[in-house]
Amino acid sequence: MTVDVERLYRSHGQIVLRRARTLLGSEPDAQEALQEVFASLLRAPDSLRSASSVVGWLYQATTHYCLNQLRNRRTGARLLQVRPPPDALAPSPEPLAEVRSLLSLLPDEVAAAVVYHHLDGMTHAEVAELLGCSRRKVGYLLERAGESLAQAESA
Amino acid sequence: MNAIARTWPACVSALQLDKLRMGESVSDEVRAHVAGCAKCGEAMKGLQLDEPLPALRVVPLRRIWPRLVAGLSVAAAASVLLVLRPIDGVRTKGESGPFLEMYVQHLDLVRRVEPGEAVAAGDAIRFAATSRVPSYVAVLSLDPRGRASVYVPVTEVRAGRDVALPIATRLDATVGEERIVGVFYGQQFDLEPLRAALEGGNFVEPGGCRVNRWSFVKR
Repeated sequence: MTVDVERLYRSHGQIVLRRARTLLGSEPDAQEALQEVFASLLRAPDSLRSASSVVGWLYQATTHYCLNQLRNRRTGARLLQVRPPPDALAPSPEPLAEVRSLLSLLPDEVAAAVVYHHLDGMTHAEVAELLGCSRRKVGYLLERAGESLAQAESA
Repeated sequence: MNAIARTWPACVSALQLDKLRMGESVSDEVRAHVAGCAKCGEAMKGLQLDEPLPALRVVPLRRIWPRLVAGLSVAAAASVLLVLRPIDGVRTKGESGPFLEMYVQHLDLVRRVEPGEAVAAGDAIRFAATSRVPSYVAVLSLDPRGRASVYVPVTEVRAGRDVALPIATRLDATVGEERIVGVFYGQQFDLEPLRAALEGGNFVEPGGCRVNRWSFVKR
């Protein structure tokens, strides 16, 4: 099966853009995510060919990209020894700003489980399918997220 | 965990609603529930973005560069020319170090971009590497707004002249001088700290790397 990336971009690109806006909270970063997710598809079309759902693949790819970006903001700020942009990491009136800050502290798989379950409203079974793990492991990941975030909040 | 409480407002997940919107298979139970649930119906409407998307910047290679191979051969034959305008000096093809060249497709025409040459928003650009030994190369860009982005992620390239890198990039509408930094290294490397440093104005050539810098003007 050949993946027509341009066609897919036109039909499904809005899913990626909407999701990236929510997760990153920045229009330029969301636009970059939109381009990068589809660029990754051009580089590795096999990843989509083996997926059971195009929408599911886009959810995964966008989440993975955005969580990396959230971590990179934190790492970049540390490497350059500058304060992170206020809208990126510090709590602000925008409700999801604090969520982004907290997600950047979590390991990739744990953060992804949190996004899928809490922000997307997925059941443990749906999260398990996207992450390719058992429902039991999803429960463990969410529990771990709760512990990590409680520690971060009390620190 | 207060900050990350469940925020999704509907009974059925965003994933299921998006699948339903896009015509993918969902269970009959989900379909029936959404049809009769105001909350889920409202959430599904909220998932729709009614706005045009920008052009896809990275272009499928089968669509462009049909003449790149021929173009590269011509470029190689004309190799006495200065091919880069490094910001910190002049590099010519006669030097032993690895270097990059940039090609641009404007409408149906593919040409090599000469130092300081103007290109247009919407043009597609692609890079080719020349190196005597196999290496890893990446290309970063600093646009006129001071935003650094990855044009080509770290890619392994074979030794050779004008080895085309796998990604073509569609230029966006930001006009002005755009700076390009090509990084060659003998092994895999982490590009993000370099991108962040370029954006922060603190880019320093990492030890052991060969760096090409030049610029073009986007009009």
